[in-house]
Amino acid sequence: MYEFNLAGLLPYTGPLPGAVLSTLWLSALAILLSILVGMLGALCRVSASLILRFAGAAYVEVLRNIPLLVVIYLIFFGLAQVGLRVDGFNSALIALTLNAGAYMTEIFRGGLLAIPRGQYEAARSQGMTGLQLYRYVVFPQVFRIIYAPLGNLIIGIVISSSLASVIGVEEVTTWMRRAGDETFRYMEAFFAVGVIYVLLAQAINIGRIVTGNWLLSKAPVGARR
Amino acid sequence: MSPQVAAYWFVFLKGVAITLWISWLALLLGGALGFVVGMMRISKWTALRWLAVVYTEVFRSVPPLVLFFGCFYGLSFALQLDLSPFAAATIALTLTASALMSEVVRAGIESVSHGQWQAAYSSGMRYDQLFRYVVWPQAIRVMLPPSVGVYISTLKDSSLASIIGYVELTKSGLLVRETTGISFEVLLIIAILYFIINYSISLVGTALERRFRYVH
Amino acid sequence: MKVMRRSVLATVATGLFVGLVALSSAAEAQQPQGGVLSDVLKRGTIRIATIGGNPPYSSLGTDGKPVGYDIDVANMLAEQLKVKAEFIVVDVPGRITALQTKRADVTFANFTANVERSKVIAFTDPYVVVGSIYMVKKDSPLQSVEQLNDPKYKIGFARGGTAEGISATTAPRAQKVRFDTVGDAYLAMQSGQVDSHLQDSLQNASYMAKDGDKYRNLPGNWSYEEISIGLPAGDFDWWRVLNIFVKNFNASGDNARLFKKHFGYELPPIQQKY
Repeated sequence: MYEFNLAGLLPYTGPLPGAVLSTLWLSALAILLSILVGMLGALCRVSASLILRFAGAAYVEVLRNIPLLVVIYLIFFGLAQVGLRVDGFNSALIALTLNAGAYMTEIFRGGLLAIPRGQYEAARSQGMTGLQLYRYVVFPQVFRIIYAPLGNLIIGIVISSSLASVIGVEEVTTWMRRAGDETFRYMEAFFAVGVIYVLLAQAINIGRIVTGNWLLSKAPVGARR
Repeated sequence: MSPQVAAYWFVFLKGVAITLWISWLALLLGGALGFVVGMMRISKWTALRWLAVVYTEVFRSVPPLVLFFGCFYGLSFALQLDLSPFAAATIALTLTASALMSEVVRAGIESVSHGQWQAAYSSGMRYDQLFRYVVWPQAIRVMLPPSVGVYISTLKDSSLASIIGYVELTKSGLLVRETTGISFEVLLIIAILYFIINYSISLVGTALERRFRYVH
Repeated sequence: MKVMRRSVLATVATGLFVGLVALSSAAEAQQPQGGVLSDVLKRGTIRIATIGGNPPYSSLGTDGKPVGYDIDVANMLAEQLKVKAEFIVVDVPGRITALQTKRADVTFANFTANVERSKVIAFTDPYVVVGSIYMVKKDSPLQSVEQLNDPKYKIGFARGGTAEGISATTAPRAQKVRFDTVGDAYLAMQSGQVDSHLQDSLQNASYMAKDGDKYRNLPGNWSYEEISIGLPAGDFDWWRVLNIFVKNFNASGDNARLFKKHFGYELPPIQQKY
């Protein structure tokens, strides 16, 4: 007979808020950095240079086809052994950024490809520089196209940040494993942490929808879908 | 490759086979479960639809690593179940894959325009006939490419089974690495093996996509 | 707004589920107490849980099968019972789960007997006694555990083991970095990811024998741990058989022989002078 007893975890609740913050902080940094990586990657993938296009495609294919866990191990243990030492938190951050950056690249590329070529030519003929072209013409439209897949990916990053626990980063999953190991209340620990992740993911979902509505309301009538 | 590591070639090979096997099994089971959940999503009954939404959202929001942990330690303790790491890993992978597959199934069904449904009904088809002759032949084509994506994602998630001690490709590598003390090389081999497997699958997927592309 | 409703729905449903589960407690039929001994003899195989990546107790052979001291001891038990040995690789906390769920009949897994664990599983008499030692790299600035007790230093160890408690009492202020296996923690120290690896003293001696020029120990032995065979709780007959095995194994010199083979030096006394 097993008694489900969340109270058994009470002595361990002290470090929990810190663990949640750590998960959020790690995820937030990874989201920002991977957006930057994704933008660069997407520009490479649509660039005129063959080398840049190949490099962009190779980056995406390699990172999308290797499990994040292996990338984390490779950075934390592998690189350290050949002399490049990155601590646990930063290893997890780099791995998450590289992994999510590949997916970001594909999302941004999809967005860029959705802009008709004619618009680039029109903007050029208006005398816009490359930077102005992207700032005023391309990115505002791209963001409207990509905010939905972007939201999914952001949830994916928060979820994947749980892998940082394998290299000893103190975050929500590490908390769960420790609380479980010490109390043998594994089911309760799993349950508590499962709820935390679901709430985080749904908070992002709601955030995405609000942003989406706001973006669409600001869009010119023709661009609404 | 250093000879110390090369001596373990059989371990790596076995790891590849086990990884392919467990992810394939999870894809089949997850596909079946995802099919049920996907059909619930388009059900007439609101309660079923809600249940399906909650199922999908929950298993998409709980990290697979946490699920593996819950299935292995949680279920083992709570239900006193004799769950082997293999069984626990299969359950966790199936749950994750089914949430993804339910979305694929739903998108596949919804890709068939409503006009066709009405046309089928008005020509006297029953619900099962409608699916058999109208919806599935078209939906399958739409579902195939993302299913390949789900397989790759499941295969990558299966690396997490190493956490609960299931000796698949990642765990094989980690054990070799702990035994030989050579981290970088062993991990690189594991990464390359995963890349080869997944990239081949994605090439097959692209070929399938081209072959089955639905011409409107 | 459809998507929004969906999200709110999932949140609310999760909340409801939390309430439901918190209110009710899962009732499950009690597991009938079958005798492990008769099961093992009937089955003709003994299922042995061991941890991978924990040399020289247990590690992976080139054919993918576990090898090491614990494995040899387990094989000896199987031989005496005249059954086949079947090994299950588990992680550190997984040893307890494997016994609790009766997935394994015994553990030979560098497993310390203590009261906390004895609440849920059982142990035999010890076949080895170990301590805990802080190992550092040779060029480390650290000279003592007092010095290590500083938030700027990191101690690595395997989660779910006894190192958790030992590090908390001996170096409470240092950062703790928990890994999945002993091997991970050792490799983390080897590559400089942690400053010290809190490890089993016997393992330490064999690491030092192999790579003594790269590492050194901080003075002090911080625990007294009896490494024992683990078994499911509440099975007197099985415990009786295993305990006789351990006593004969220690007395016959088999232990001393296997120990020397794997650790490379003489077996330290199993009886501690208190």
